[in-house]
Amino acid sequence: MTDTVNAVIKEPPSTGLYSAHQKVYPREVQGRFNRLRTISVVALLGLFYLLPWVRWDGRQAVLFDLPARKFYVFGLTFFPQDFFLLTWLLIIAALSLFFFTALAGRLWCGYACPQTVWTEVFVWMERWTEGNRQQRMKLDRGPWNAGKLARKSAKQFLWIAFSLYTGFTFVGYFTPIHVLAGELGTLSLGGWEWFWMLFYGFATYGNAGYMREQVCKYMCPYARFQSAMFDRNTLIISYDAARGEPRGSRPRAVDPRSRNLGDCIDCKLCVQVCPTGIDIRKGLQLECIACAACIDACDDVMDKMQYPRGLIRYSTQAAMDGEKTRIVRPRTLIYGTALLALIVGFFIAVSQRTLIEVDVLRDRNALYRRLDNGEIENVYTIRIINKDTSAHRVRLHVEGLDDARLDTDDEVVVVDAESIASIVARIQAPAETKGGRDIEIVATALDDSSFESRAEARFIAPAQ
Amino acid sequence: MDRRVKLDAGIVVWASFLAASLGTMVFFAFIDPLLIGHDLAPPRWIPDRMTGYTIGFFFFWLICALASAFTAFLVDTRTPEERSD
Repeated sequence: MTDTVNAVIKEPPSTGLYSAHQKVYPREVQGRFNRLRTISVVALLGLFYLLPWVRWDGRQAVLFDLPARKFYVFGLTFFPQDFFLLTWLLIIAALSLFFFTALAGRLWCGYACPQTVWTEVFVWMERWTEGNRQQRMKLDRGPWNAGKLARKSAKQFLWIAFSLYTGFTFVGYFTPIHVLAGELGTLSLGGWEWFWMLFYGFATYGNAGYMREQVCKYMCPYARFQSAMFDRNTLIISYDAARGEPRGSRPRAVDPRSRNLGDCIDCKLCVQVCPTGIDIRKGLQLECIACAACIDACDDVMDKMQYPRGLIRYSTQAAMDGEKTRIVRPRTLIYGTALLALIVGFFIAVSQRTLIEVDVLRDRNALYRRLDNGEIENVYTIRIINKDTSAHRVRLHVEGLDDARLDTDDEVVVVDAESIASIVARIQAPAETKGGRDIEIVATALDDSSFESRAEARFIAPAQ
Repeated sequence: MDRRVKLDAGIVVWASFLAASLGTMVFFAFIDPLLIGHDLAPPRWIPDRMTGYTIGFFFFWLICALASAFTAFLVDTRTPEERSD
């Protein structure tokens, strides 16, 4: 017996997200959200470009000195041993992203993402040199003449100069920027400095000049999973279809209801200003970076038509369905509480950081040695890491093994500020000690009793 | 080169770049490149730390790109239309 199933198998559309790329010519827009983004661009890029020039205690305030494996952040010095703090910071960053996404959608994408921020500046430069949307489209369609060459060259000059300066600033976070500027003046940068300056500059140029919205569509992991943090109470940019439809053009004086029209006049400005080239009236889409350019454009049109603003607006699914939007809800509570706990914990961890640390490595050549007087000796290499900004005199002793002595060449080890001292320590235990024993090596700063650090180690004696 | 191959190549390079950046950061947080091969003969084949970090980064990038490319190859990312062509 054969059952015949009449089913229409739908081929997945071959267009959609991965359709062939068409250049987007975003139209300039004015309005409150655009103003907000401009403020954000100036603040964030200002921070990025100025921070390396800030001095603190006679050195660069923020400097990640990779060759020396030291990381300066204002008054604090971090070492690779503090890696967990960085991991902690990254977890805080990720959770903040979750929290703000649940609350207000893709705020990050629209106002703070480096991709958005640098693209915005590159688009400004494009406007200064190539003109507005219409002029840019005409220029691209037109033949290569002197005018086009001049405008395109001017744009490239601005873009490249800005990219190179961006690359220079980036490297300035890793090599003291004053030194770097001097080296650049004489073109005597090191190989890696050249490489990273050009690499970062090129990445900026490519991403902000050409890739633009494609970075968000194809490359950004956050764009793919952000919808998981969304719920009915998340702020999204939405087109009020109930109010806007049926859309259609009409003279300003006409009451739309008399022609059976909604408030959308179908001017398509919301589409033209969109940096990702979508039509928000089709509903929320993956490509939407929530920049609110369409809100600004539409509000402007509504003002001109003397209709109320907000045909396209920040809203929530709940509000669109006529329910009350709930800001406090399990999702935001959980994200918010976890975030707060992590931030508080982070500051406690940073402030309680031990400024002296000990690392113990057993000598690999011999398990133990019997001395002439019968005592058993183990040899260790001990690294004392001083993260403080002043030198310390450190004495070592051993705990956990009765009558054992710790012996070093110098009784007191002087560890310079922000450096690591590597010393050989011999631990001698009485002749009758048997088997493996867990011990602790304790470093105490003689000049400041609050500095004490311990490390576990193993002492090995003959089994019999 | 057709569009799909280019797109796959782009994704492979990008995804492995991210993974390699993470790998480099974690690896060198715990291991000082100057200590690699420190007590072996011939000693010190890494002249300075920046070279060590760079070799490490490109090594991670290469390995991650291989895994990523192999994955892309195995899952066959073509659309049904492209497959029937």
